Amino acid sequence: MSTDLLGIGTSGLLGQQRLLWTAGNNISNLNTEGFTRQQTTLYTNAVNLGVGSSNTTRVLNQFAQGELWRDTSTHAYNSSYYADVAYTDKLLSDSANSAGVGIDNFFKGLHSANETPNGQSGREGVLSNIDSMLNRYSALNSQLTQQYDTANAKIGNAVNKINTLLSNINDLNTQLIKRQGSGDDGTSLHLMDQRDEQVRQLSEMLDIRTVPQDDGSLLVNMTTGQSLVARGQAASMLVVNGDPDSRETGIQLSLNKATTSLKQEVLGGSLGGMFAARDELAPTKRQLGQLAVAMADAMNQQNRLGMTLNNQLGGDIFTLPSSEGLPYAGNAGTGAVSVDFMAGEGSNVTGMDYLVTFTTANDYEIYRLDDDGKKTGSPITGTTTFPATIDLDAEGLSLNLSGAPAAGDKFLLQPTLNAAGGLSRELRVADDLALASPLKLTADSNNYGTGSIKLDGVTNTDGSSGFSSGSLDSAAPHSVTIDDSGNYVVYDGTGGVIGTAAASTGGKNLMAAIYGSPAAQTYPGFEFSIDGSVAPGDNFTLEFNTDGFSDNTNGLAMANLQNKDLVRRADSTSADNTITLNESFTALVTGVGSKVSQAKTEMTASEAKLTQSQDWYNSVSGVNLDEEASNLIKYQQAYSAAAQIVNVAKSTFDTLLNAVS
Amino acid sequence: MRISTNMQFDRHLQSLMNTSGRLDKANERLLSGDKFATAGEDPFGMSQKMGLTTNIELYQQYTTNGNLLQSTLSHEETVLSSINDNLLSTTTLLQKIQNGAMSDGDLQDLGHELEMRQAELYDLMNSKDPQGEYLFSGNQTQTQPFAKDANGRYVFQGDAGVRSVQVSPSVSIQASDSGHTIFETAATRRTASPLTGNNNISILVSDQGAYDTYYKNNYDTSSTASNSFIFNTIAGTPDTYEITDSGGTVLKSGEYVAGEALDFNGLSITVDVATGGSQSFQMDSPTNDNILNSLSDIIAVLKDPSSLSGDELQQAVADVQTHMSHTRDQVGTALWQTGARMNTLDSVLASNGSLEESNTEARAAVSEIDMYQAITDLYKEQNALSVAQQTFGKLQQQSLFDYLR
Repeated sequence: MSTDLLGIGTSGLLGQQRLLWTAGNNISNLNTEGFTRQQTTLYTNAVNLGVGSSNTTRVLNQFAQGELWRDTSTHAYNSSYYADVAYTDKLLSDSANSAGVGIDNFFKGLHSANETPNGQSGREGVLSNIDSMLNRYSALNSQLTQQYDTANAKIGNAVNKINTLLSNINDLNTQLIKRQGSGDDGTSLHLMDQRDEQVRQLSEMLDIRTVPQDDGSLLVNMTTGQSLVARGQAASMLVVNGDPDSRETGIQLSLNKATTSLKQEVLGGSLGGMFAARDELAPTKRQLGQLAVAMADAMNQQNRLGMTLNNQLGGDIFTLPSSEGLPYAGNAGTGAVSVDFMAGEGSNVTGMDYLVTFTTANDYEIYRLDDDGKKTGSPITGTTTFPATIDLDAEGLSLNLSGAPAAGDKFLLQPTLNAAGGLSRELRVADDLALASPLKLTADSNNYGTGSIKLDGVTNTDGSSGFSSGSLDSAAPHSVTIDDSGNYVVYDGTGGVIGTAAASTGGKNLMAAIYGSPAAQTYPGFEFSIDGSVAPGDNFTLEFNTDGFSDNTNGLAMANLQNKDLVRRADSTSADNTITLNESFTALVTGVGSKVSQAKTEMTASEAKLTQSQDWYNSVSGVNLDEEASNLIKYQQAYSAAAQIVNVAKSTFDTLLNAVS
Repeated sequence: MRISTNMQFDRHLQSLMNTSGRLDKANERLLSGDKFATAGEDPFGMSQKMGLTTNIELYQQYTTNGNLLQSTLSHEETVLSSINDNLLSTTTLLQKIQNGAMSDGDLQDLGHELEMRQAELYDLMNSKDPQGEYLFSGNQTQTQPFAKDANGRYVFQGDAGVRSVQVSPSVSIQASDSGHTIFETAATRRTASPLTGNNNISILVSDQGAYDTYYKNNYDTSSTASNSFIFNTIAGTPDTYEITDSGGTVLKSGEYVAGEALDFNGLSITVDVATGGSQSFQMDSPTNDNILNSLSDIIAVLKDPSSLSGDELQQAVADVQTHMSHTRDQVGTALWQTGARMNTLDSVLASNGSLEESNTEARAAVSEIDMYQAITDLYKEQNALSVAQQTFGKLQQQSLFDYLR
């Protein structure tokens, strides 16, 4: 039996050695990324006494691992989304960049100019305020555009990384299958660790589901079921240009030459977060564009209602940008659509994109698109022959159609997307700022009555009005005389009677009384009243305000635009659907702010959840040095004991030999 | 629960990072003085802050506007009171003319003095503001408001426009007055005269006040004919007269004595026709003019006193005196209005100031930190960090390997 004792001792030595190796391996790999704690189990020898075989396995709870991967995806989504929208938030909240400050300064400049309407310094100040405001608009717009491009670049990098990970996982799977049953040297376990680490990294990029296989490999799917790593092959992802907006890129998945487009919402992980954050940029840009257009148009219209330092009617201060409709790739016709903003309809402009669809070559449907690009509401329909111009007054847009579209052709219109960057100053010299009213109203100095005449407002100065360039048309009202019955008789420039307003009107709103309301707003395009007591024969004159450069009536109206509701709130039909410029910018900033705030809450929650599942996973699979230290002692002692067995076997044998000799 | 070594490290690291993150935030808040830096940290607070900032900026602008307006208005007030003083002393001079003891030489001296006053007034009416703009030319501030035309008459060259300044969201205050309103529309003396061809009647205004009242109530601007009267004499014992208006209604009647003055609504009418005859007269049509022209008229008269009879002189003086009094009324009104505007401005500026202040306070409450709170927070976080650091050191010393020797 003594040889058996030696055999038992030797098997014990080898077994304990094996255990010591495992403990040593665990300690050494403490900081190895993806390492899973290993455990060696010894079995008794089934035939003889002593230790038989040993088996080393990873200590792993697959449920804990699966939960860790899912929580990793969720947190990666939230933190990548948060990081990107927080950047936008910083950009908008930064007062140095703030378009809100630009707007405030512009109006302050106008107030100063109104103090001395015929002075150069105030006017030059307004011009430089306009430029700095436009700079802020365009800087903000281009920063947002840059961020969009950066997001696309990041998406490209992420897709490359995903493809590498997928192919790595597939390679590791293949190796694992090959090594199946080829003995236990620990390599398979390390390969599994490596593969699981790749899968964990993949779960940072994408939301995935895994299916372990009996042969040790792991299949990876999207949450929607598409295969990412199948048996023996890996899918690859591709960034494809958007249609019709090529910058609005999307993701295609190809496996085995079959390609499918992936919806952004199902991606999850940091890739999904990048897409979600990128798609917040366009609505912000459109809102900024809407604000810029509404302001510019209102200023243009008001400036047109005044008189410049050159005794001319004012012109536009800003050039409103126009844009080209983007044709879809599938368009068969040669049609093209370009979009202009309609002058005077700035407060109808929405922060939305539009889709023009030709149901036949001549029938069109125009849909508004919401922030997600979905059609909202019922379409504006019409029939036209090309080329044509379609004025959408209710949207503040004018579409120019050219070429010949085919039935089914579609165009995407993005009127406000880059409007904030495309706005430019049309006003060349400070003199052209129309601060003065174009009309001078005077009560004759010899009037017996004490009535005074006052301008209630100028509403129109274009070709349809009573004004011509630098003058009041002779057919327009030039004077008012009180007749014997106290009626107000309005005369034109050649002495002809235009009309008579009854004494009972009290001289209020004479133009509306004579031309009708609201017709008077178009022609003659102004309104005035005579206040106070009048006597028959009293005369009042109206003339072009030539040289009335110290007048600031129109400048005051312009400055007052800051308090006016100019920007369309949303797709609302209620009467009170407009807000002021400042309110609009505040809404834009706080809209993004709310998203950031919400994203932060979600990120904090998902971080807590991730920590929890990390703890669960680590409590099972992580290495504890104290544990390993205690194991070391335990195994070392067992090893010493086994060595002692060998020693005993030796001394037993020696005793026997000595006894014999 | 089984704890892995890396979990311990990770947890400590996490808590160190969280604590130092909070410390950094506390420090940033203390340094910037803001509760939040971006809208994401407090969207509602940011929305309020932006709204309040716009309001504060607006009120600051209104205050700037108001301060400039204050100096504009006080300048105008100064000029208007100088004009008032000038008019007052001119009035005194005019009263001297009526002193019957004046010799022709005295009158001529008075004429010269009046000329000086007129020049001074002319100068004041053409005053400029500190920016070199004419005060009273309406919106044509580069044009001299009053100038002499070819006939030596003073004409107004500006317009009736006025400029307003916005001093609060809803209040805009008139910043200027036009000479058209103040000077040009001053009513001249209301008079009456014989109709053409009626040479046997003379009419003087004996009681301007009574006549003005009558004129005001009865003058019809729609038809000149209805402003005439007929003085009929009727033979009898005694002879009588009737004054009828254009409609034939008898307004006054009485005993007629040829050549004897009688009073009719402040007019002194002297008719000298044979009984049975009649004379017609009318209320003169109303005119407005600036006082410079009336002064020119009286100066011309005074320089050559012998050309007029005593009565005619009196009438000329009465003309200018009445016109002067109307002008002084208008200047007084303008002065009063300027003062009223300054009062309004003062109260608007005061309310702007307190609104700006309350907005600033509200903004501070929403967006600015409480210093004590912030400093306390900073110390608290510092403390937390050093505790976390110490714990980290302590716990990491607990390794079984340290006891294996």
